[in-house]
Amino acid sequence: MDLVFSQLDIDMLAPVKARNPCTLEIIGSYTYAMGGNGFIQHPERSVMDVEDYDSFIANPHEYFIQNVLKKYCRKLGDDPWRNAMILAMGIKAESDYSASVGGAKFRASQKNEIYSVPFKHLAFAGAPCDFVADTLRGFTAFSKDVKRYPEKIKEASEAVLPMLIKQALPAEVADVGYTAMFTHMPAFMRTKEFEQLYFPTFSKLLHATAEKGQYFCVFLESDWTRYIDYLQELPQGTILRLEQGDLQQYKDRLGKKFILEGMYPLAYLKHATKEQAIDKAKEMLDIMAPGGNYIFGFDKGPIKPDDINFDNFQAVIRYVAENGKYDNAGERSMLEEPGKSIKKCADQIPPFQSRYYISHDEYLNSIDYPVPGMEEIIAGKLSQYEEWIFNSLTNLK
Amino acid sequence: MFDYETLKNSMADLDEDTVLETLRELIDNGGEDASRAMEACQDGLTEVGTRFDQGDYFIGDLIYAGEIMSESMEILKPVLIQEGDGQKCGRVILATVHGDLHDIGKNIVRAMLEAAGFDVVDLGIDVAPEVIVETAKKENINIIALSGVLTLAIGSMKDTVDAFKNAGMREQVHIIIGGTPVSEGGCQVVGADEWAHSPQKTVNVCKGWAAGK
Repeated sequence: MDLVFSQLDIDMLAPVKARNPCTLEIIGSYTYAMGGNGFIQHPERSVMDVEDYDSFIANPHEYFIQNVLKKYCRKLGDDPWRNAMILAMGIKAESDYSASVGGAKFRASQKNEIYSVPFKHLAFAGAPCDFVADTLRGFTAFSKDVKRYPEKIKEASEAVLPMLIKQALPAEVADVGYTAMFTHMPAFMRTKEFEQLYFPTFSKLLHATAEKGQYFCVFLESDWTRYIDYLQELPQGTILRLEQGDLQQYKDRLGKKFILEGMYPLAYLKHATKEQAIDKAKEMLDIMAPGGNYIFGFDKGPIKPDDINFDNFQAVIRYVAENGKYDNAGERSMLEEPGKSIKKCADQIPPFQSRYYISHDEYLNSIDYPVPGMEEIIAGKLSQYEEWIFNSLTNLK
Repeated sequence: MFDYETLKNSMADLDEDTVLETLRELIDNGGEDASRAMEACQDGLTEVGTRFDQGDYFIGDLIYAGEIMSESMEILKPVLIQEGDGQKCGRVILATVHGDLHDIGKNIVRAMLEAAGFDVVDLGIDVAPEVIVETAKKENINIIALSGVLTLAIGSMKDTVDAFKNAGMREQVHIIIGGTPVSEGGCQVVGADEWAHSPQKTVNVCKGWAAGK
């Protein structure tokens, strides 16, 4: 890590982490599998039958814990004690791995003076419809549900919103932080289906989270040019990571309200000459940089070292570092104050409730210590562990 | 009797209820014209592919179309088998290449190739080059369709083409590659004969090869 960072003229590190095979082995992961070349990936899985939509809608988190977790973690069996051990080991392995990667990244960024957003300001949440598709039904079954049971998708997406808003809030909200989201299904849906099934709860999630001060960084898989009108409805200041589409339209129609990132074709780092790779970067900067609100980035992340030619990579980064300068530094780059674009909806969304989650207030009301002020301290700590187990279990796959 | 155009259009419009009701009625009435009904469904599916190419339909539509087509084939199969109408227009080996576990695109292509009358030998996912070469040799199949989603699939596709070269079989086989990372440039790197993002293009290319073009 240190070697790579020291050779690149970069300002900031994106959070990166590969899958940990130990975690996957401990839990007997159904979701992730290793290909013949060692690359761990996410083949299509369906863990919820269509008949179960109503049970999920009744309480998404309880359904997840009771039904989905054991399908994701194939080592979970009939013995509750062994199950508890497996989950504890899986979470510990994942947490150790994150700490190890995070530590290495922190040390490398300190040494090379590269900024990295503190972990406590980061979160991750999927769009409600993507949760139904990717976490529950699988791509193929979801695509059929869109045609056969659109109402169920709508209800399930609404039902899971409180849980996703909870996931979207980091340990500590701060301006430098963001919540990452990787969209999936819109590229494969008709525009009308997107409008009716996907967008309403996607938008609510971003607005309700922005109301609490946290903004999203949304990776828009594939080409979203046909969805630009919808994107304009999102909270100002949202980071939109682009993969494909009409760069000029993105810039012209979204560039004053959002921070745009991405779209440099990774293939240029592998197959183009160094000159062609730099020319492409120049072409992108010429369109995207004027007026600001732009972060140079790629359409896809390289997943193994030989996905790129390092000389090209280095040359492109150097070109961007030397030429990617704002002509309006210090001036307002967006249309209005960020808060004004937020459509308040948080109070219309039911609070998150689950028999597998104890809130801070519930802890506070249930404990009693002889020493004054101790309840608050203990309840605060217990609450931290509650959040930790909530996030760990919903991400254990 | 059924109305050919109505059945074809119902398939093209993904009107599942009308397609299946028409076919069940046809079978209930003795199954006469089952072959024609099958053709109407195939024509409808071709129209689905065309609408996808034109940007009116998306992958979700192709998946649903494949579902309606396999339900239709299930209904018609008993009668078609009796009629002995199982003539295939060609054989294709289909595989997701080594290192890649994604099969949604491959499955769409399989459904559309089968609907077009191909006998498809589907080798599944993460298939090593030598398995594909061995199967081509053993089954005497000269149309190879390779699928992949990950960027690394391009390397595996190239390895597969190279494996055919090393086995001295490259001149005897036609190879088409498909999936997200594939492009004209990628096709040249891989050394394949054709490439496609659209399943309909894959079907058309394979039909041309099967017809000796």
